[in-house]
Order: sequence, then C-alpha cells, then structure tokens
Amino acid sequence: MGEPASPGHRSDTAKPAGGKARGGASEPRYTAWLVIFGRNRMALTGLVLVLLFLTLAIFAPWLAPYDSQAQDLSSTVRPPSLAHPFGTDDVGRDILSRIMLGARTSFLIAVMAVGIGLLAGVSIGLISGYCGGTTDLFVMRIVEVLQTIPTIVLAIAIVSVLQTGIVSVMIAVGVTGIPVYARLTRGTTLGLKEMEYVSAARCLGAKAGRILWRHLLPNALAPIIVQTSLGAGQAILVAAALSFLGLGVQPPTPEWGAMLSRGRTYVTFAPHLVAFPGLAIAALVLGFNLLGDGLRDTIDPRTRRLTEKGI
Amino acid sequence: MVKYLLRRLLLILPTVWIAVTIIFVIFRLVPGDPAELIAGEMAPREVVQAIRAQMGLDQPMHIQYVRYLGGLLRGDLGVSKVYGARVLDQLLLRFPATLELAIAAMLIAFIVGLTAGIISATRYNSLFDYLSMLGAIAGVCVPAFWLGLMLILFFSVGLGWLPSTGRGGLRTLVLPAVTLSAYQMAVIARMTRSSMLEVIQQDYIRTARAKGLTEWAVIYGHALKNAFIPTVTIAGLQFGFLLGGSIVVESVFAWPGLGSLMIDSIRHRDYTMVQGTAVLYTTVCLLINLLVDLVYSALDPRVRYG
Repeated sequence: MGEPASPGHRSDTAKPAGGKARGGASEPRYTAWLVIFGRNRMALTGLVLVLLFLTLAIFAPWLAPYDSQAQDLSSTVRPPSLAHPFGTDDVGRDILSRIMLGARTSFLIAVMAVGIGLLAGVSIGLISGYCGGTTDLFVMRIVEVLQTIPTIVLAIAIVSVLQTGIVSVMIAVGVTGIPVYARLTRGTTLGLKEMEYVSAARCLGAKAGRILWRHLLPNALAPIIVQTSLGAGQAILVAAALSFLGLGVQPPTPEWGAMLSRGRTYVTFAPHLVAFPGLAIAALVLGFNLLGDGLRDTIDPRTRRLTEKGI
Repeated sequence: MVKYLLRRLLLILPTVWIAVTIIFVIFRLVPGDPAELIAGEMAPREVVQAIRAQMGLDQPMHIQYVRYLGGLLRGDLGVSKVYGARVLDQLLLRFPATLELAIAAMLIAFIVGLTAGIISATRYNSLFDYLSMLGAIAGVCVPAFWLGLMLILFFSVGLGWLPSTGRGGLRTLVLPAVTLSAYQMAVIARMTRSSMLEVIQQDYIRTARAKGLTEWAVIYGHALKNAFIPTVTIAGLQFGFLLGGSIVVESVFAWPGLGSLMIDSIRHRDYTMVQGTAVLYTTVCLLINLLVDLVYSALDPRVRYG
C-alpha cells in the first residue's frame, strides 16, 4: 500500500510521474540552503578548519614527519626548530607528529561520542514525542534531570566506573550528549506528528516504526544535523578535559588533552609543550562551532534573519 | 507568587530523587566487583568480603537502593575509605572553596560580559564590537585548562604578579576565577549583545528617544531592563555548568575544592566519595536552577502566571 510522501523526504511508494523529481519539493530547498551556506564566510571558515583537521586525521601516518611514538632521549624538550617545527616533548617525541596523530584520536572520539548520543538521544526523542502521554512525561523527566547534571561531572562519574581508555571516553562523552539530542528530536517530533502526511500515513495503516523511520525522522533531521556539529566540538572539549585529568586516553596514544597534561610539568621553561596542543583543540572546536552556527543560520530562517542584521 | 514558589519547591523533590537514582545506577554499573576494585588486586578474600559487607554490596540491589536513599535522607553519604571520615563532612569541608571560586567567576563573567555586550550593541559594527565578539568566540572554544596554564605562564611565571597555585586570599583567587569565567563571559557577552540589538529596535525605545530621554537613560533605564531577562536566565542556568567546570580549573591551580576531592578520590578508587561528590554537585545545580526560576519569575510576571 502506498503512503503519501512526506515533505523533505523521498518516498519510493509515491513517485511523481516521470520519476525525475524523486526529491520532490525538497530539492530547491537544499539548493537554497547550499547557496545561503556558501555566502556565509564564517561557516565556510568553520568547514575549511574541520576539513583540514579531518585530512590530517585521515592521512596523519603518512603526513607526520616523524613516528609519533618514537622517543629520542638525546633531544628532549627542544624548542621549535626547522627539524621539529613544534619542538619535542619530555622524551624527545616530535610534537607536530603527535598533534597530527592526536587529530585522529580526537575525531575518532568525536564521531563515536556523537554517534552514541545521536543514536540513543534521537531514538528516545522520537519515541517520546510520538507516543506522548505518560511515556513522554516519564522519559523526558529523566532526560531533563540528566541534563541538569553538569556534563563533566557526569562524564567523570561514568569514566570512574569504567576502565580508563578511549572506549570509556567515547561512552562517557556520548552519554552526556543524549539529553540534548533527545529534547531536540522530541520537540521537533511533537510538531511533526500533527502534520497531515503523518495522519495520512497512519490512516493508510502504516505502523508506528515505519512512521517514525520513514516520515518523522527525515523531517526532524535539520536541527539534529546542526546540533551534531556543535556537539562534536563539545565532545572534543570534554574528552580533552578527561584526558587532561588523567581519566581519558592513556599514554602512549597521542591525544591533545593528555599531551597538555603531560606538558604542564614543563610549562615554566618549555611552554611549547602545552601551547600547540591547546591551540589545536581550540582551532578544531572553533571549526565545529562555526560550522554548526553556519548550518543553523542556513536552516533556521529566524536566526538567519538575525544574522543578516548582524545580531 | 507564594503558590508558584510552593509548586516549584515541591517539584524539586522528585527531580532530586531521579538525579540521585541516576547516579546510584551509574555507580552500580561498575564492571566487576566494586569491593575488589577498592581493596586492590592483591587483597585477601576476607578483606574484600569485609568491604562488601561494610558497603552493603552483599545485599540485593533493591535493598542497597533503599538503604542508599534512607542514608541520603539522614545526610549519610557513607564513609570514605581514604579519609576514614564521613563523606558529607569532607564534602562540606571542601564545598566553600568551590563555591567561592564559582561565585567569583560568575561575578567576573557578569561584569565583563554584560559591559562588553552592552558596548558592542550600542557601538554595533565598531572595532570594539568586532574585537569583543572575537573574544567571545574564543571564549567558548579555548579549553579552560589550557587558558589556565597560559595565564600561569604569563602572570605568574612571566610577570610574577600572581601566585599560580593554592588558596589563600584574593590574590590566589584571581587566576582560577578568571579562567573559570572565560566561557560564561563569552556566553553572557553574546547573549547581552543579541538581546540588546533586538530590544533597541522596539517601538518603546523609539518612544523613549522621542520623549527626549538621554541615551544613558534609554539604554540603562529601558533597553537593558528588558534585555536583562534572557541574559539572567542563561547565566543562571549555566551556573551549574560553571560548578562542573571548576573541577578542571581546580586541578590546574591546585585549588582545594570539591573538584580536586573528586579527582583524588577517583585516583584512590574511593567510589563512596566520588558518588557523594556527584550527588552534591547535582543537588546544588538543581537548587541553583530553582533559584534562577524564582528570580526569573520575579523579573518577568508572565512566567509565574503562564
């Protein structure tokens, strides 16, 4: 049985004649978004920064001038030079190479943590918003309380009961992101479930799972995508903080927060040990934040108007 | 107002209950036996069993939960294995230091953020506007622990003006408080600027100007009063996160607060203390949120009648 196509999402059961415009009315919207995004210089700067670090993360083993874990005890805590543009650390490892490899760790954590938050948060938000009633009241109360617990306290609590390491960091940071995605998705779902195409799908006998997956989720995606970018920046900051506190990624894995933590001992006479990893964190978080802000301005007409006015 | 206050106070109880239940569940998810983790790998079996019995871990989960809640109601958060004292006593000992740091940071964030936001809005698109918004963007991206280390490097090591660690008087408070305030400052500055820019386009501002009021009276008497509400809300709600952020800042500046206690306790596998710290942080955050709601309702009557 065919179902009506929901806006912004193609339907394989309700194809327009000729089959050309599978995306239907959504294609002009995406093109308009692309144009608006392309005009936003801050957003483009964010995109370039993120892509730059992504390239570093992917190709780090080939781009890095030295082995990131190779120690050279004859040249420890060296200041920046031509041979080592960012200097060397306390056991003679090249800091530039470690920052490049650290980008890979940070991206891995960000992707996995955001993935955990997305998967759990979006599922909770969709079900809660669609079911409504007692389920919604109960689930959202827990989500609200979870959001009240400071992110870092929750992350520390989770990491403290798991074994320290990269997987624990991903889980801890991921869990802290769940409430944001859940509330966002629930809010959008509440509005969408009253739309006519959802009622039509229900009348045609579509099951709840299908309505959620095929009709509500695709149309709730825009604000979620925006939050994904902002959430990735937040995830990198929290993960770096955990590593800085000695509760995150463990040595010898190169990670920016852990590099800072190790370098703080030498900060008085070798500031480059902490300066460069800190700048790397700030630059990548800045990239994700600018990209997220840009996406929000592109997708949300209200904030776009404010941005155009310079607000 | 009294009815609203009572309703909000009653609502806080189930919220605190859910929060402590979440924390209880997290700490019961410890893979393996928490008693073994506390006792250490080489500990004899008898010692592990004694710890298990002492912590009530030999009881079924629901009994542990009821005992835990009962203890909380009596103010009993357990006994720390490291300090050999009641967890609550240790928390109350350290809490003033964290509160002092958080309040100082909030004050700095408010004064600097609000001023920067107002000037940016009134001198919209000026050099000051660009610079302060650049600073605001940096404020939310720069990790606090890195900023702290850079401030130590500059003001303590380089200039020798301020001490880098410890707690004792105003001089030791400056660097950690400024570090902790950076994020809040950025958020408040951005929020104030955008609220002010929206407010100063309203008709009543035009009317105030048309009446012949001075620019000072228009901005501070009319615009700021209305732009203040969202700023207070955001700043207040962020106070809890500022408390959380203090954990990292305390670690950088060896500040003897709750954050340092929490990290030390994790290193010593003192889970009772870690759990107690998490409960205190969360309860304080919830209470602050309640306070913000009340302030908000006092500032904007539409909230309590809505």
